[in-house]
Amino acid sequence: MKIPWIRRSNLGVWTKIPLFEELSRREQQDVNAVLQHKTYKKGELVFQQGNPGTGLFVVITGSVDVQQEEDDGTILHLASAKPGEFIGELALLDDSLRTASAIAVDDTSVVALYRTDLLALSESRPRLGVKILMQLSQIVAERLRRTNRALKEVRLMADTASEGA
Amino acid sequence: MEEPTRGGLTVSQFLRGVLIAVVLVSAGWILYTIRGTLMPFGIAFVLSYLLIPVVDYLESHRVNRMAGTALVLVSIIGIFVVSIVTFVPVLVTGMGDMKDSILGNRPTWSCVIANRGWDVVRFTEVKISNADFVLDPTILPVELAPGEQDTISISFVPTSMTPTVATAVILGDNDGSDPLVLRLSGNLSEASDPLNFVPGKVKSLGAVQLALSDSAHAFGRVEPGYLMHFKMQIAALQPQMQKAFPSFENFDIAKRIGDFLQGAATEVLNETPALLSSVLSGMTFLVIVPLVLFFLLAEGRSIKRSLIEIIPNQYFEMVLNLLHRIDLQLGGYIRGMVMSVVLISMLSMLGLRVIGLRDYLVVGTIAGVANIIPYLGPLIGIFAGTIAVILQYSTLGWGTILPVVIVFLAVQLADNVFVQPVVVARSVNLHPLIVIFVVLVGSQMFGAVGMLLAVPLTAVVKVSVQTVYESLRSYSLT
Repeated sequence: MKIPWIRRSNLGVWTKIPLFEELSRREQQDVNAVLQHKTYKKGELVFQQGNPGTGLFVVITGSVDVQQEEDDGTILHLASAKPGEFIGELALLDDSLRTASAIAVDDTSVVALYRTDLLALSESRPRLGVKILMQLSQIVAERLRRTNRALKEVRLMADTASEGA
Repeated sequence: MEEPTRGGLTVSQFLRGVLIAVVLVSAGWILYTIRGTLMPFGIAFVLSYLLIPVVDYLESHRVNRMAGTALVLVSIIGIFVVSIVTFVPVLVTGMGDMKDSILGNRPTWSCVIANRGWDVVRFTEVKISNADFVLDPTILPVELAPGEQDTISISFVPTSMTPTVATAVILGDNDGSDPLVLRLSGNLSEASDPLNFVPGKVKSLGAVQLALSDSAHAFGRVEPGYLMHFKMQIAALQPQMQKAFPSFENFDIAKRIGDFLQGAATEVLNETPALLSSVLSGMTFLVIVPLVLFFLLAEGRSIKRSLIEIIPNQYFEMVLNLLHRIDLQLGGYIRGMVMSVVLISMLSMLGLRVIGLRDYLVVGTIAGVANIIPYLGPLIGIFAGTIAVILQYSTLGWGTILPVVIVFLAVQLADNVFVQPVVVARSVNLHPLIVIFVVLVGSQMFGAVGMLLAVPLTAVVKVSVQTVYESLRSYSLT
């Protein structure tokens, strides 16, 4: 006999992304309550560059391409998100404009966590909010470190280039 | 092939515009038709904005959302019941008293005439010797078959406190020689009034025997309404007016103005207490509002989520953003509004109590609620205060009016210095002309309640439209 409320089935592939991996089972269920499931047809826009962002998307099935349109109109392919990967996480922090567009390259299903829901969740369950936001900060911090390193290398390269000249 | 154009629009654009207009108009019409049903939902919606922070707070302190909602609802219903039992009756009676003082309380006496004879009796006319006594509308002539009876109602509408005596002569066409006479008196002191203990009588009118339940009535002390004072004062000016403007000769200014004011005042004053009690005691409200409120509080988020789910992918991020912003603005506005109504009411009551105004509860409440209406609200408060002063001291002098005006000025100052800065979002800037316009439209459509709701509703619409507009500009819509 199945008793649904003690069934410990996996909540979904989204629990494996870094943002949520530290959460307890109970906390994952709370997050699950505010997640929104969405499906996109092949070629549909998930979000568009230049629009205010609303939240984070975790790809469940299918695939999403992230691409940036340059000022001169050329399209730069940045990344592809496969099942279990996430895009748009910076929109959880503020509603600044999206720096890239996301397009479904297959029929795709995602779960979305919106900033407003995350804020409401953090207000009603502060410990849970802190865990998610700490994870998010670590992701952002790691990326900043990587950028700094890259910048340093670029500078070094520029210096050696000017010394050689 | 190019589509044919009409004034720069393609036909399909034109048709789409017409379609949108038709949909909007019919939606508006449907909303207007079911406005009575919408009321409890609207009230629940507004209340949910007030209470969601409380439920959220409880939830953050590990109270289950259902339990928190139940707790909040039970407390609210408790407060509501207590206020109904204590405050509302005071308010309704207070407003009723004020109404009586302005319109006069118009005591009415009914006298039963029964035909105890064997012939048909006809009454054709009732002549009353003093205009302070008014025959209530009766269909004359009245025909009484043997054994039948009918009533004649007479109201006392005095113009002053002077003792008045009159006779009402009921004329019939059977026998004019000996008419039925009713004796009336008003504003006589009880001891000196000879009419206090006159029994009913049976009178023979020729061959016909008529029974009267009473043949006399003492109305006792009745204060003339303030409107009557006003009418008398204008009537006193009539001769001078006629001298100045001969064309007014056949124009009874006092009566015209009096009738107009009477009509307007009756409408506002009669409806308001009745409306208040009907709104508060209506079964639908007592059942539906808490029910809707419960679901909005406990499941508001999931309701919102399932609504968002219907939105097409192309628009949903934008709609989500809009909803969030409107939510913030509205929440701020509604919470701010209710808070300022409560604060202004309490401040006004306190001030009026200190200067010793008798009707401080009623006037304070009126001032607090009216404060919703910008520009006009404070004036309505002062107006209500002035009327209360007139009722209490029966004169209008600077000595009595000034304290009231000072109280309201102080309250306005406090509102501007302490309340408004805290209640930031309350200040939705509406142009004074728009305020006047929507207040008039509101009063025309829904009476006094419409006047009150006009500005908040307009503000809500303005905030929503403004947010939508501002946000849309940051979206590259195709």
